[in-house]
Amino acid sequence: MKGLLLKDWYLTLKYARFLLFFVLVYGVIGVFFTSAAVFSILPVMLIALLPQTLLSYDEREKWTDYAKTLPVSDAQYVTGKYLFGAICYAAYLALLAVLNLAAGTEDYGTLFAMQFSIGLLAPAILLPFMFRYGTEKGRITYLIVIGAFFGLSIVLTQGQSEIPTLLRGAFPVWALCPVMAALYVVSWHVSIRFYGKRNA
Amino acid sequence: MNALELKQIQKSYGDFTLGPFDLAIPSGCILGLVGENGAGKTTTIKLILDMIGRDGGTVRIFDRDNRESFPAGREEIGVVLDEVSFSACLNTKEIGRIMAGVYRSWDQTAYEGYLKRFALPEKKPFKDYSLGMKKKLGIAVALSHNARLLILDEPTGGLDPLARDEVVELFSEFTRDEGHAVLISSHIVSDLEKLCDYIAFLHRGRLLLCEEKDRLYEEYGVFRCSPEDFAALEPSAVVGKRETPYGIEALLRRDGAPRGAELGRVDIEELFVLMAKEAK
Repeated sequence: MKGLLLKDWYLTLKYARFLLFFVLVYGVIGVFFTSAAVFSILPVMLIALLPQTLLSYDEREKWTDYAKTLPVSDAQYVTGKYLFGAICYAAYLALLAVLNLAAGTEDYGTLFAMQFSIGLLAPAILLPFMFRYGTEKGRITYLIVIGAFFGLSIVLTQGQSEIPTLLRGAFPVWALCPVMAALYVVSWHVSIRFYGKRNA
Repeated sequence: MNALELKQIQKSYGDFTLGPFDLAIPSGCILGLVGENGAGKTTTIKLILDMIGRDGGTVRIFDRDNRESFPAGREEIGVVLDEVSFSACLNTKEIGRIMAGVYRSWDQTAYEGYLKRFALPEKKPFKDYSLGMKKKLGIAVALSHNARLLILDEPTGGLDPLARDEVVELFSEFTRDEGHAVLISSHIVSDLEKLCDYIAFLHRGRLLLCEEKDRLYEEYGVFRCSPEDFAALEPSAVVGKRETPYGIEALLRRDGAPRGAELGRVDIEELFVLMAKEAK
């Protein structure tokens, strides 16, 4: 596991250094320029995409094949990706927290809850598809599922542009944090099963 | 004890079926897997490593089922795949650190020794390596975690004759330890002939033979003769034949050859080609 995490760290430093740079710049903009609200959310969504990016590199460079010759199980390989994603995400959120506290951001608790939840959503949904069908097919499947989800939600809300009154204010944003964390854990277990099936 | 033992191993891919067949490598020995492209050599290796699901049979490595002993059992196996696949941006130093985190039995001193022996640069990224350098790095990693069994898929492909000779010598050194064994597949049959104790022929998914190399020389010979002489041969003694402008080259079992017939020594490549042609 240590070796897998180290490999992902090297790949992040070498392949994703521009991503890291922009994520840091956007993060700082988001903290210190309150009018640029989008920069509060965009960088967390970008950093959360790291595991998918690394998985794409592994497939392209056939590391996924080589890893099967090592004393590394499918479950360990999948866990490595989720763990690395979680570590990077936690480190980035911690950095943002320090910056926000230094800047004295108002209602930072709510902002943190939004950042935490939104960032985890994409990998939690996307990764199982990528582990099951490969990165390319997985992305397409993800787009289809997301499209179907939004299509269904439009049908169910009968085209209303606003969130139904029943739901509005029913859930505090903080409540999303454990839900999203649980979704990430469920996604991890589903990915282990999916990856095992793909290799069967 | 057998280092590797396949029993009734089988795998189907729609229009291609591998096996079922048995195969074993005693400890201290090198087995060469010979076969044309698509014969099933890589599939066999993937089945041994459980990289793909099998349709039947068992694989035992050092007397333990390969699935039951996974993943710890992998510590004992050094693998070089047909395509050595480290991340393109990594250099040998980083690969060494990664492998130290993957293998409990990683031997950094041995790794550095092989890097030196193969003259592999420390800081050059993997993507800038030649095909031969990539193979050498794959071999260096495979030999640096105290493996007892090496599984090598075309390890000498892309190497120049000098480097091939060096690598062949290295594998030979490896099996001087009686507890070690090597399974090697290669198109370069001359390398296998130099190196192997046992030879196995795979043809279209079927195992045509698996025999001690020296016994192959003892059992088979090439009989160069006219079509008339060929027609007079005992059919059960004929394993294969090739027609040439000068007559017929028949591959014969020595014990079925006509009395007094002079049989030439068969080389492994010739033996495989003649047997595979006959098996069509």
